[in-house]
Amino acid sequence: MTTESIARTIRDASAARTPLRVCGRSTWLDAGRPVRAKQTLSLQGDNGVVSYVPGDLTLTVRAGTSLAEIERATAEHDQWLPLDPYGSSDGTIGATVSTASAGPLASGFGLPRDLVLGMEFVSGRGEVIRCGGKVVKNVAGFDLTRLLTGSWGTLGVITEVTLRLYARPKVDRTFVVKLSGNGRDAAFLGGFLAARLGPFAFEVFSATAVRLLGLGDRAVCLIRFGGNEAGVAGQLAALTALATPEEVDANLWTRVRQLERDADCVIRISGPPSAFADGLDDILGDDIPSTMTWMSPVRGLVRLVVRKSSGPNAVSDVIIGNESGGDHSGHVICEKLPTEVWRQVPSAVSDPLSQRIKRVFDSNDLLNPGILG
Amino acid sequence: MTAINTRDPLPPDGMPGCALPGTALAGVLPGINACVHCGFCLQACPTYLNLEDENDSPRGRIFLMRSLLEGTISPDDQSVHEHIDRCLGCRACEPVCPSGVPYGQLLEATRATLLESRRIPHVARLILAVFARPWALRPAMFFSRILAATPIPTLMSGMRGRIGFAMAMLASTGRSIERSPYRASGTGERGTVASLRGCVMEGLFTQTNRATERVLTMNDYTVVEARGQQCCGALHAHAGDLETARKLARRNIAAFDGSGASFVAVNAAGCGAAMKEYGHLLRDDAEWHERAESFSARVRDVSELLAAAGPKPGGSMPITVTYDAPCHLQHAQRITQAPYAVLAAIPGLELIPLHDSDQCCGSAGIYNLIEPETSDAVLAPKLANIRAAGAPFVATGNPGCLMQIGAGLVRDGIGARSIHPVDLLDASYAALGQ
Amino acid sequence: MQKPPVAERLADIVGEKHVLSRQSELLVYNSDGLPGYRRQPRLAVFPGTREETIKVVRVLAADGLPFVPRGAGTGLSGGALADDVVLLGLHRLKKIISLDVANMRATVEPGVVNLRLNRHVAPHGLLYAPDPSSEAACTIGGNVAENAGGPHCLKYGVTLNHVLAITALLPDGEVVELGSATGERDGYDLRGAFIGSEGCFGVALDVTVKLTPRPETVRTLLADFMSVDEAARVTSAVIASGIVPAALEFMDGPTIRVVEDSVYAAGYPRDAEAILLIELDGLRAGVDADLETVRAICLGGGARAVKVAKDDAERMKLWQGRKKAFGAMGRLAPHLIVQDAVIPRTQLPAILKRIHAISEKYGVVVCNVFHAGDGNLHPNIAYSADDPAESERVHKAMTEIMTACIEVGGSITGEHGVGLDKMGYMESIFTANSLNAMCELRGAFDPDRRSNPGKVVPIHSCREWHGVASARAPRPLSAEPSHPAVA
Ligand SMILES: Cc1cc2nc3c(=O)[nH]c(=O)nc-3n(C[C@H](O)[C@H](O)[C@H](O)COP(=O)(O)OP(=O)(O)OC[C@H]3O[C@@H](n4cnc5c(N)ncnc54)[C@H](O)[C@@H]3O)c2cc1C
Ligand code: SF4
Ligand code: SF4
Repeated sequence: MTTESIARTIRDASAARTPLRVCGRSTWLDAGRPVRAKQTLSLQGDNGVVSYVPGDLTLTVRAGTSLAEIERATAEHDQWLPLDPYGSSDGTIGATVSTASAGPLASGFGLPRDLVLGMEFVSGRGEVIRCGGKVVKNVAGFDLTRLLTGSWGTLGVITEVTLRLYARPKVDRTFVVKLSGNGRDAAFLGGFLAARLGPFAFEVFSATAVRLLGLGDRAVCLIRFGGNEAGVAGQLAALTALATPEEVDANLWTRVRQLERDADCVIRISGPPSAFADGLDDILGDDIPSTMTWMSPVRGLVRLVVRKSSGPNAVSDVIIGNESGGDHSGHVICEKLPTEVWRQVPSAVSDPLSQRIKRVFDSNDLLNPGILG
Repeated sequence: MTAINTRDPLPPDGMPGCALPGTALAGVLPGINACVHCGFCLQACPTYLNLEDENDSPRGRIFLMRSLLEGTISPDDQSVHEHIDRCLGCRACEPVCPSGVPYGQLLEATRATLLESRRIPHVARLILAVFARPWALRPAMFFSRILAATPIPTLMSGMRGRIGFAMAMLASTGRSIERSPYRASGTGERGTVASLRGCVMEGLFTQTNRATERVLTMNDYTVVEARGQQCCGALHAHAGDLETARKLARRNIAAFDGSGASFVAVNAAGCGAAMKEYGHLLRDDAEWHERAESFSARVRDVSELLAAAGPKPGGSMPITVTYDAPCHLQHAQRITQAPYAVLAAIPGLELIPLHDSDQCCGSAGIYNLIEPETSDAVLAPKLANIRAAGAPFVATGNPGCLMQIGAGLVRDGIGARSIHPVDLLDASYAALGQ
Repeated sequence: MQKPPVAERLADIVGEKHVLSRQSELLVYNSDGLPGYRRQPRLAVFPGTREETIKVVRVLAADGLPFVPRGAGTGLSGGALADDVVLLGLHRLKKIISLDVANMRATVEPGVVNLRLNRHVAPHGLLYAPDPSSEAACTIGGNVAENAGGPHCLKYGVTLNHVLAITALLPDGEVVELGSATGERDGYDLRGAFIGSEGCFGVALDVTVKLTPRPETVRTLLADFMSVDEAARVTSAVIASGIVPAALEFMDGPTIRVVEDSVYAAGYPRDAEAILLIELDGLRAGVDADLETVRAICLGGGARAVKVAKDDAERMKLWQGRKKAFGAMGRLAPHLIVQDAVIPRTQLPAILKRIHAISEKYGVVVCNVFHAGDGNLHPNIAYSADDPAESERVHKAMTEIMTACIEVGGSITGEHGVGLDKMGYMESIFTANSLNAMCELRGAFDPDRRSNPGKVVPIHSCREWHGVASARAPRPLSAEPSHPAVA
């Protein structure tokens, strides 16, 4: 599949006014709002490395390339793309960038917006547009790259992406710290953040999540340190001064990414980190049946997952509870919800500016119509 | 090869014809050209920070100078005069300039050139005339000193405007620090020193001049007199009256050369800065240039001489002091540590750091009398910082600053007084004998 | 009833002395940090508060008048030049609105100078990471508009990676929140689109930035080389080693000597042909190990000596020399052309050779001082514009250097922006479709193209605009028949 053939498909669809459902490997189609489209445009077949110069630590791939393929290609040179969105590595880079999906490594390496250097995409009008570049620093022209990242395919179909890579750390170790469930937990979290150890990842899981991970039945922190030998030893020493860490196999992170597999509803609640430190017990309380939560204190983010089998009411309870409860001025971002609940959630792109932008790139509302409301 | 079109990437901004050939300004074109327009000087400039217009910034003023030469601004354009007049001449813009633009010299040249198209403002003219004439200066200062000794200035300092502030300045000079007489003695082995009496210093800060002689003696310098010395000419040069400045410079060089002293000690930072630049001032004077250069090389701020000697510790004096750096000491002469060495020689003295002590106080020669509004605006944060520091003494080594800050303290009723560091050291030496 | 002239209405909002209309007072605003270009504004207005700014922009909108936002005017692409239109100076908006130490963020007005913000947060053990060499002068608003970088952006990222939210004043007077000051949010990344928009999308009214904890340890190395090529190869080797230094800066012989002649003399070895300034930071243990690796790479790659700064004072001195290098070049010749290009990092040795060959060919002296770790080159040439033959040679040499960078897959600007200076190169790196898309994105923010007209994307690249240019193009003030009395 080539960019030109994708462009042709879009132009044809445009002429016929047939809305398109854009997808990668279709591993996560239940995310986002229901899409009103009859035809599917899959980028799965459009994969492969376009260019890779290890010395530059940059990689250009077609959008249908899976994260696993990227992992393999870069591992040969002891490099990696530190991006581990929930789900699995079967997902495509195009979908990951489109939805701006990220996982635990975001605490250490940032979000897709921080890792994407440039891209090629086809707009809803069928025009091929290249933006950004293949160099790690670039301010030429207006930043379409950032605009497309996280636009859920509603502005254009991403066909190629250039990414910033990192060298794989010599040492990469993961530790678990069991929380006590009493007032000392907040102090530990605060102390750990204040120690500024720069972990690759740092997540706190509620008991329900911990049970699924097979780590016992109390809330825990998972901490990932990476770097040179001496550096990680230093980080570990500092951590040991605050708590009693136990080393676990790094494969645990793969299981973490799969926690949401049976999820009916996934929402993110984002706010200033201090707001979460204050409400730690509530957040980890698991007081709504079938829910589990975990948080990324560095990002100021709580992930709340409602697993299948609980009725839709539980879901609306969660959302409504979160929007009205608490005085933190954060945001609720819904990734996955039952269809009937989506209707209660206001769209994030209904403001006039976003609407004008949508009209510029996809005036006929051809691409993933409805996915952002 | 990729085809590239660039639209005027290099419009010539050279200077085809100079609009003011033969002027002092045309003479400093290389200095103007050294400015790369980077803007690093903006945040250092007190007038820019207060007036928030680049016309009142170093980069802007240099651009005005350039425009005068290019002929895009006429020398009798009112606004140019305003912006050049408003410059404090504090030279805070010089040490931050990576390109080494000699701003002080550019300013003098500009003022000299503009002078030809316009007279110096009335008040300024009167003041400058008095300074250039010893016969007029002495009685004027005498009158001021008498006045300073009476409560009149304090009473009048509440008045608004220039008179009020001038009176506050005088009121501030009447207040120094108590000390009992002592006999200064030393080995004299550090060499001979002749000190500049200075017009303001000798007129209003007589005590400080005597203290200077004593502390130098205490630190093993041999103090000799340089007869026939006059005003250093700094105020004239800053105002653009280069002719008078040169005349005064020649007389001073002759007087100090005649004294045979190895060093010229100066306790007024503004005067010291000017005298260190006699070489530049007289650069086109075939007869005097070399002499001026060697003279300038001998000029020292009193704090430099003292720091070089230690200075010797004095008697204990449990007082609290904060220090404000005069622009002409730190920027023009690049002396920052020596005054601290002087204060450190006083046992018991507690030094409170002054926030933004490197910022100008707005005195700048006679600026406070001719640009009172800007001067006030610059002074206000300084006074606030002094108030916050809470020390009863503000040490600073320049008469302009002593009066400007002193006046502000009197007017705003802040319980602190300005004082020359040398006076403090002198008092500490006086305390030795007790 | 006839409206009073614009200048008067603006003066009613901001006060008489903050509106300039005299030609002689507008002159100093006719260039930014790149004095090769001069464009004279017709009027300049300097609001002192957020409310005044909004009112000013609404008055301009009501009259359909174009304007150019300006921060400190240190930009190096002619971005803040107003060609016969209104110059909107934001330097008076210099309040630090709030500082949230616990959550490590601060909200500031656009005129706050970068270094002032850093001084303000330093006592709390925090820093604002993007550190352009112009930090002592440039404003946060200008940094956002240019997506400014700096030496330490190698590890920490550029402005884009440190801005959480922007309150933007659109050219029609509408105020919108982009991003979020309190957390991540969904929807389009409008904040990302606004950053680097060079004043063409409207005015940043306030900016919430992320602060970074001061690292436990900072170690700075100075490695000097007798050959440019060796230094370039060592740069590539350090990057390829996987260590991410906080900064990795390159200075060649001519630059070293200029700096050593200036007030910012840093003690660089004068006889070296190149030096690398490499900084490592983080936890002490890890940094020390990396330091040894980097030292070995340098020495193995031909470094004559590797010196490690003893203390903070020595470190600051080494950095001052680097940061003031551009300015110091003013000493060489009356005019300076500062260039900005990016190349893939493995191309560094090859491109430096090309640059050397080009400089020989045209008989010009190129001073190279740049962010080597990012591949962000700054070849600069000091020359005299009074000499037309020399200007011509400099122009040709620069064009050839840029072309060489583009040919190896590079970009025409890494941090200074396109502005006026780089517009001519845009078509050599972007297709017509891409340029048109940028134009239209701008149209979503500024439908009438009144904010910073004539910058970044050449007007002829805008299809829709091109067609109706004569009917809708913003008219400069002078051509505004209904407002003859602007000034
Ligand atoms: C010696 C020197 C060294 C430099 N080093 C670096 C460096 O290391 N890295 C780097 O990135 N840059 C560097 N620069 C370039 C420059 O300092 C930066 O581009 C800086 O971000 C410009 O800020 P400013 O406030 O001066 O903006 P200005 O020059 O005033 O304006 C620049 C652009 O921003 C727009 N703008 C300004 N304020 C606003 C606002 N509030 N809202 C919307 N638009 C606005 C203007 O319209 C213009 O297009 C350097 C410049 C100099 C002179
Ligand atoms: S710092 Fe120096 S070179 Fe830069 S603008 Fe100011 S005077 Fe000019
Ligand atoms: S001398 Fe002082 S007031 Fe004058 S331009 Fe320089 S810094 Fe500003």
